[in-house]
Amino acid sequence: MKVKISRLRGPILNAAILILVAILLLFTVALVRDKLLQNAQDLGDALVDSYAVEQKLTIQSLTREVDVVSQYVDEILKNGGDYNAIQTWVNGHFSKLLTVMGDGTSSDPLFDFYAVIEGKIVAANPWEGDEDYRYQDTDWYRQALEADGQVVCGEIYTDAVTGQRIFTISKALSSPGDVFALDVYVQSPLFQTTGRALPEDCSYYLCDSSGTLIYAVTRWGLDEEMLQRNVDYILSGIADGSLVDYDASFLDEEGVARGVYYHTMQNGWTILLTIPIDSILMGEKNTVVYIFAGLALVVFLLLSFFTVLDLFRNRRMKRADDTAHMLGDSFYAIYRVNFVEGTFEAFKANEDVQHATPASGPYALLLQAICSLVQPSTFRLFEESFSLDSIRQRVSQGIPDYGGDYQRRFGDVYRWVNIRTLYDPELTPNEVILCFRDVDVEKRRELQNTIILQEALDAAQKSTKAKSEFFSRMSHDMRTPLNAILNYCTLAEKACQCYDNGKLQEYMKKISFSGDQLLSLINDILELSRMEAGKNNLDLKQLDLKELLTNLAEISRDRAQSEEKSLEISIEFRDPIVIGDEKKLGQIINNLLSNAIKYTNPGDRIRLEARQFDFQAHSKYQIIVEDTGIGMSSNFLEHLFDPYSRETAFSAHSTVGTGLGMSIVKSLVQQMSGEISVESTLGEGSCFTVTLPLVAVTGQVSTIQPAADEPKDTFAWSGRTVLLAEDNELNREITGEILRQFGAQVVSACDGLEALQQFQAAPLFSIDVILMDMQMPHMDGCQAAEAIRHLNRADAKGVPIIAVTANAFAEDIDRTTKAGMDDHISKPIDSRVLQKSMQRLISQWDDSRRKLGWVREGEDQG
Amino acid sequence: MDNAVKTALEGVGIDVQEALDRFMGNEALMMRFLTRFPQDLNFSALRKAVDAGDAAQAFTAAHTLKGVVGNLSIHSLFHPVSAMVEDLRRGDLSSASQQMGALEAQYLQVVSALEHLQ
Repeated sequence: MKVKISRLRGPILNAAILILVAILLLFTVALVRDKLLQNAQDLGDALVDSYAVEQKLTIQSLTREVDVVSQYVDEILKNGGDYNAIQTWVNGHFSKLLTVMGDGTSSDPLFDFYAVIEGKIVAANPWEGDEDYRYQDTDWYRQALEADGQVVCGEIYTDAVTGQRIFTISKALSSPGDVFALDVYVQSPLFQTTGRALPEDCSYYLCDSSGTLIYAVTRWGLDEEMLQRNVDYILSGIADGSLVDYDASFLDEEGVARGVYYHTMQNGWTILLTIPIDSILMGEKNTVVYIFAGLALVVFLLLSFFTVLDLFRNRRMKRADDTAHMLGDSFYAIYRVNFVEGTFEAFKANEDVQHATPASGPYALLLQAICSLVQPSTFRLFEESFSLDSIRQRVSQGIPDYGGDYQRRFGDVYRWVNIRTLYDPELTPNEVILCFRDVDVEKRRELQNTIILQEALDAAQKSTKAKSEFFSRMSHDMRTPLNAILNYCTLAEKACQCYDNGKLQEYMKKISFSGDQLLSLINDILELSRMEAGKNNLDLKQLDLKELLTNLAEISRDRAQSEEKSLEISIEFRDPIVIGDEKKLGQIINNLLSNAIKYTNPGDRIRLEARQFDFQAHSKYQIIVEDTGIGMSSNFLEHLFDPYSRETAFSAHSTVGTGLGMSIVKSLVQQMSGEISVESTLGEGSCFTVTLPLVAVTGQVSTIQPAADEPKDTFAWSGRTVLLAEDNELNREITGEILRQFGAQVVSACDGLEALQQFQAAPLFSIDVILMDMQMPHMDGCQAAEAIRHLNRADAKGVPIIAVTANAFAEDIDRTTKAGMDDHISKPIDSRVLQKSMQRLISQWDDSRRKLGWVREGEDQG
Repeated sequence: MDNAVKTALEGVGIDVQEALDRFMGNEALMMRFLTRFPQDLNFSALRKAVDAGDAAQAFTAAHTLKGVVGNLSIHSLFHPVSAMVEDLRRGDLSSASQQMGALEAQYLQVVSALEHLQ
């Protein structure tokens, strides 16, 4: 969970920072804009204030003028000046004042002087219709008298005579009823001074207390009416407060936003100033601002791009990280070792080392902790191999992957561990990764494998050596009697020619002796298998094979029955007492039986069959374990006897058993010079056949012998038909005659193919037994037997087939058994053995074919 | 059985008792087959094959001959033929041809003895 959060933190943090930066940027822009607008407000206010001061000064100077002129007039009057004197002074002063105040270029009147002296009007410019004019009713006159000697400034009004908008400044003179007054023309250049000092694009309006426009400066050539409308709009905005705030604005004729600044003077006049917002915010430096804004945007976009890129890279890195993590899971400890500085950093550590060392520090500490757990015998080598010097040396040699297996103590037990130093000069030029993996199970299996292979190799070598020694000795030994025979033969021949019977007899005896010697040597060769067995540490003792088999079967039968499987036993030995290794025999049988039980389902049948073949001095014993269980696929069958055949399928490690059972059985059987073969069909069952050459102890079998011999006396040969396959004519006749001597009828075949045809041609169940020579043209004995077994007729599977062969090794018997033959008779034929075998097989065949509906001629039906 | 005949047979390496056992004591039958042995063509086939260097054919002939002499208990021939069969089984024709002379001598002895009986 912690990991997840930390992995998510990166991209989210980046996005957050990005958004924050954006907000900050916008906030800053807003702040700057705000500040600019506030500054503009201050500036605007200052400007309008200065304009107001200008207007105020104009009015003040006019007011002062009125005060001064009034004092002059008073003075003139006091000094006895009359009306005319005043008229003259006023005229003179007016023209002087005009020169001072006016610019002299404008034809517009700036102002007008006049006074009421003793009820008469004195004016700088003579008035028309003086007589009708009632000055007493005018505001300026009344206000002047009421002001008690102070100068009075009146409201703007339209002059009745000129029609011009004016206001009057008046003052009462010393003589009661006398007043001096000054009419000021508002639209005169007196109040139009400001426009020239106006900033670019700004608009300036001056209006009186009623809101009537006095003067305006705009960049547009608007008429009075339009200007008045603008003023009305702005004033109403000021009145309702919508244009008061520093950031308030309105749109002008051109649709440009403008800020408004105003000042209301003491006399009620209002000065308005409007400035385009744009010029406040950017002024004339638009391009620069745009460049900066563009740069900011580019930086922002770049930042966003890198953030997104980072996001993708992070995702890839996370996947790589996960992969590395999973790979790392198979190691129980991982360190990074800086071999330049001699330090390490732990990423993953086993508890015992973790307690003993810090998470990072000098490598010597770590090595000491690790070494302390190494098995003492490998301690020195380990310490050397993984010292800093060794690591440096390997790095300098460019070895990227180095390591091996060793035994490491975990608590109280030693387990096999694989240690590696991994180096990648491009990724970490100064560091190697040191990692440890628990390989105990694999290693033990590998060691066991090696032991088995070594044993097998040793056994094979011993066997080969023994064999070749034996053969070289034997061929040498054989030459001696053979030479003797040949020499004596030559001598005998000569004796014959001389008719020296005495010598001839002597030679013959010697020849016979040598012949016997040779025969025993050849017999020894046949015994080779057994001799080899003797060198493989077999614990050979006399044992009752029948009893052994019965006991083992009984033990297995209990298990089989508990699993609802049936176990049949059929043992047929003439000589149950044999010389053999009881323990190893037991191992073989037990393995086969327990496999049969393991690989069968409830309701299946298991059969243990054992029988004995006679061959010269040695007996071959055959043990068959057959079941109707799950069987094996042909693929599996091929590797059945390979060690660990089950493990090679990359299955989970927890398979029951070692997978060695069958290879052990095979090796045991081979140790006894026997053969094992298996037939199996998936889903139908398996049949294991073990053929072993065991020395029968014949002296011990007397109790059984009579029982085995019994059928000989009661067996009726008459009417029995033997199919005899033998390619050599003479041999065929000899064997045929022997069979006829028994009392049997003989059907002959010259080869395997003919035997097959003869059998096919014969009536059902009419052949009692087939005697099959092995080496024949067209089809040999095994092929013919197999072909007969595969025929689609009721007696094909059951008809007894006896192999007649000169080959006496266990593998030959195994081959005939595989081909489906029931017994094995050696050449030259021993009539008694042949008869016994045939009688036994025919009797069995009688039983089984009766079950198939066969009735023997001359027998009562039913 | 005529002792002289038995001696003659044993003299050329025939185990009369074993052969008799095989023929279940039927001496006439045994004699019938023994006297037919000189007509058996396997020996000449073996010799021809060895001479011709045909190991496979030689093996077949030797093997059959071994069966025949075995059945007739002609031990003096059975053992050398057996040895030759094993040589030929390995395809060792040279060893077989080396033994051929001795075998032929032995064979001729047996044949001449048997022909004498007729």
